[in-house]
Amino acid sequence: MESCQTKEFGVIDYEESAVVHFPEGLPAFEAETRFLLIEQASTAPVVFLQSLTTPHLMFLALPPRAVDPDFRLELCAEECRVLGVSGEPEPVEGVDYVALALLTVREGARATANLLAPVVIGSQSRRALQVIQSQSRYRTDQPLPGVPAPC
Amino acid sequence: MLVIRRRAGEAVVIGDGVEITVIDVTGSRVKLGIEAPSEVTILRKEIQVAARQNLAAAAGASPAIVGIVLDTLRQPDGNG
Repeated sequence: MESCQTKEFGVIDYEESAVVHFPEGLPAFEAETRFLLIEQASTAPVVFLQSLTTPHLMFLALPPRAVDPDFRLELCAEECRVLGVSGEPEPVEGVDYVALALLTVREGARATANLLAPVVIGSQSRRALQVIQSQSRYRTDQPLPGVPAPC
Repeated sequence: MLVIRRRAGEAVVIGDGVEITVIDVTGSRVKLGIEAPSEVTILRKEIQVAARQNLAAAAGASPAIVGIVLDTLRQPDGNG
């Protein structure tokens, strides 16, 4: 059991098996290769990605399907290799990998989710990368939908 | 926007030190060669877009705003 300083949760203990490895980091955070995925029932479906090297670096994220139920992700062979998932048959979200859209909240504006470039975590390998989709109708700042009002 | 037609093997020069050569054109894909001074940052546009969004995402992230996010998710559409 190891422990780390987090931005908002003080010092927390974690198992090495819970660490998510980003071999290439994330754009703008290329040196950040180790994160902890913190899930809390009280904030579901929102989860926290806490850097293990920079205590004040944390992302909020949620599954892309919470924003758009029809969300689909296509992974290329190279991305599958990094994630340690098989490209054939097509890997399945929730089984072979977990997808998370990073959230941006600007003061006075509706929260947005990055559906164009979700973070994808290989379920077995715990390796992850931010997959930037080149052919996509989504945006990096997709507004969060509200639940439709009852008729 | 300045639009210039170029064939494979031809180049454009930008300013004093940047030269972009069209190396190959295959179907809908273009292979570019770029020569530039080392202080010039060259990024695929989508990486730059993702990087800016990541910086904004990291700047605004705190559990305090999770409530705002959850409220947004639970709000009727159009009232947020």
